[in-house]
Amino acid sequence: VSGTMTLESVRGGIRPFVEWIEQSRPPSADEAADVRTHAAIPVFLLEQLWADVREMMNQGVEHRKIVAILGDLASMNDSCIRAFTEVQIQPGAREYDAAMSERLTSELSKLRELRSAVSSLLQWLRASPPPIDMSKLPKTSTERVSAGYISVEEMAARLRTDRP
Amino acid sequence: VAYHIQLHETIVAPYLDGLDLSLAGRNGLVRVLNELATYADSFIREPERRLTPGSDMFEVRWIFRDPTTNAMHALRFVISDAAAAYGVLRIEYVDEETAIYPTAVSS
Repeated sequence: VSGTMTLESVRGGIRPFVEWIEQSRPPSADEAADVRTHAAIPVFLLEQLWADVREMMNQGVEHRKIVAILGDLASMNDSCIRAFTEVQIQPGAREYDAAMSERLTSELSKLRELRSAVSSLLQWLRASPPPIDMSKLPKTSTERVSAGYISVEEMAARLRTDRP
Repeated sequence: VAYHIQLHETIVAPYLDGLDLSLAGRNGLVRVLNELATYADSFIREPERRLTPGSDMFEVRWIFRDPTTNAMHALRFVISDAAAAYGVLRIEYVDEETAIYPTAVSS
């Protein structure tokens, strides 16, 4: 990721909040307390990564690269959703004050919004394009100079020409 | 290796010129074309990009967003490296798909 976050730093930042989910076990009391108290941290990290992804798309990015990053983002987001949901329904969850429960619910809501946005984009990106009609492809030239082609600079000049 | 990218004058250039892009989007498209040259060296070495095994044509897909319209554009380029020995890559074919997403995705 080219922006402020890297996949590894995000993965490292959310690990303490989801490690037990990935190990298919219930959280310890301390792990559950961490989620309740610091739920905003993994959400912030995932939102920053999402902002970086959008900036990459603003600048232009190779398809496979963005699909891979979005896949990782979706996976980490899902782990957080599972962890937050699990903590919400933990025995004894009601003992925590209402404000803390409300914050956790609010962070969970942000994660679900993010999941929706990421999954719709991924669905579009993963759809296979129609096959290329090979008969439309011109015969290639092995020559250094070949008629019938323009440079990127010429194309740029055309694209930057004022138009109605 | 830095490659010089050329575009097919009657297949590729008019297609790109006809895309529904704002001025900022067209500048983004120019940036994409320049990026192709930057990364071409690694694309050439990826056999799974070849249209058929051993073909001198390979496929690269690029995503960018037009900041004015918020539209996402997915471009598919077919590039020939038949003249790569001279540092020349030629875009022989391109197509494009547009998607408009809610602000949550595109902003």
